[in-house]
Amino acid sequence: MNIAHVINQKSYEHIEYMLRRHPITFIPIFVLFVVLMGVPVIVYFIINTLFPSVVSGSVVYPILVLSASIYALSMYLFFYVRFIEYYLDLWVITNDRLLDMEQQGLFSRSIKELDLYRIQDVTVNIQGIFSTLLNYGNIHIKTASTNTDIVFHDVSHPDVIQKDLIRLSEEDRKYHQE
Amino acid sequence: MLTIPLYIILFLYLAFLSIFFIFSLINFYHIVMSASFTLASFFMSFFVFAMTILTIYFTAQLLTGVNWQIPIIVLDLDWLSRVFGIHNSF
Repeated sequence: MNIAHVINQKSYEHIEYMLRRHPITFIPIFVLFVVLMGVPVIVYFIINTLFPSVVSGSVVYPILVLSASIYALSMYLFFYVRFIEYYLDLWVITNDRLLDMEQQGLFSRSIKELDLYRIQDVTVNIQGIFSTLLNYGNIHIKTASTNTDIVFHDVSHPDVIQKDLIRLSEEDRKYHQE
Repeated sequence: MLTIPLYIILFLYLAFLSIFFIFSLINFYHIVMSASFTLASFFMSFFVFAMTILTIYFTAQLLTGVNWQIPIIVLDLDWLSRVFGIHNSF
């Protein structure tokens, strides 16, 4: 399935930006995954050192192997779900509107849509050392309506996107005034 | 004394595997349906599925030769009598 189908792209519409979170924001999850994967190895060495007879027991041994396998598979699933949450947060800016698609867990997904001419204020927020050095941050998009504000989280080059968003919004406003 | 055969644990593992595969497929479905099947998501899915296959393979390798008919004691009344200090006089 392509993005045109997902956003139900109109004939006159073209995609200006497709934005995802900066890859650096996924690194803490990867580090956590690596640490959690090391836990069974440490537990095995502790049990094998303190109670070597337990590990070789005819009942305990298969239970330990199956438990370790379940733990490893659970970690893969946890990692995959977190990747989905990270990667499926997608913001699409076209010459007519912007779409905010956010994945929340495995069974929840929200899609917000906003016409560009309704944008009133675009604010960039870059906080922290990594955000400043790698040039990524949040973009807050406000409208006259109080319930349709959109936030682009941790996107690359937020200042460039902010300028382009204001330009596209002004162009769209002119088009709607004609 | 209440006992169950060891293969019951294996059935529980297989039940877990089926849940795991359903959830993994839902994840993959999300990737495809949200038009996010790119090189990055392909590599991540490949990594997860490859690790899954390796884990299941090594689990099977480590469990070859296990006697699944061995009974596991789930409940033994002697444990209770030891805990509560009751001596079986029969």
